[in-house]
Amino acid sequence: MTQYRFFLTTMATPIIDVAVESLGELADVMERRRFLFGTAIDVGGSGPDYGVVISTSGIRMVSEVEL
Amino acid sequence: MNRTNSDFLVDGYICTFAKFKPGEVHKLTGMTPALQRLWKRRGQMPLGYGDPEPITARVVAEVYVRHQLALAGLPPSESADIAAKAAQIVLWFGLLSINGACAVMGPKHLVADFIDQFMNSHHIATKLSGVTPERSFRYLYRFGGIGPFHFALGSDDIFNASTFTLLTVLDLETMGNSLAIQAGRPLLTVEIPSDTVPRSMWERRLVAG
Repeated sequence: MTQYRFFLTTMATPIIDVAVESLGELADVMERRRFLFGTAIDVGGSGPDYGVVISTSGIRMVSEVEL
Repeated sequence: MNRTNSDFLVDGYICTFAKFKPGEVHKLTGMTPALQRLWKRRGQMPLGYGDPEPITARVVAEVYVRHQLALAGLPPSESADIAAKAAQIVLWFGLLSINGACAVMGPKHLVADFIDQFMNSHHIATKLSGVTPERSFRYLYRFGGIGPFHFALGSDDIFNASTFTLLTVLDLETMGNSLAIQAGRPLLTVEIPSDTVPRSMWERRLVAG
């Protein structure tokens, strides 16, 4: 079950969306993927809901209220 | 080599950062020339030297970090201090990891010694970039999309710090590698002064990362 989604940008690709099941797996992705900028969201938790705005200038997180 | 006001001395070496014009800064950082002009007008980016105002690799690294932080929601007016520290680390990774990111010139035997030391320890790259060993962090991160960014040596440091709903993170190592690769020429040139060996007998070599 997906616990986190990790949006990352690399030198070669604008945005990659990686689904992981644990912090250990997220740590592994972070170490391996050589990203420039990344945003990880806990999609399985009970915290506030966030949306993802993806544009040419990057990834921006917005709260449910802003959406 | 003509001396400029951007030369600096480290352990007797004369060091000169490469300079990049706005079009090159765009390629290296993703910041459009128009955005660079806006930041310059606001005093959030130095004006550079000459026309069209090239800026040094150190400043490019700083601007690169600040631009990424801005995309992450931290305005440039609040990122100067942390970006100055992070820029040293970005350069450190670039110098250490990428072949040809550093060039050295001087008498042949001294150039050979320099390259040998550079290849066998982090000491020279650490000195040249200005970073201290205890600050060679890989990540810059924050939780929740608000508040200050923090440095971390590895992902364990981040995940041990707190549970999170939202994590924003910059990989300074990848940024350094990207900067050095995209530059296509040495970010830093080191001159080893000598009073005894004439310049005609000097050599210039690229240092392997």
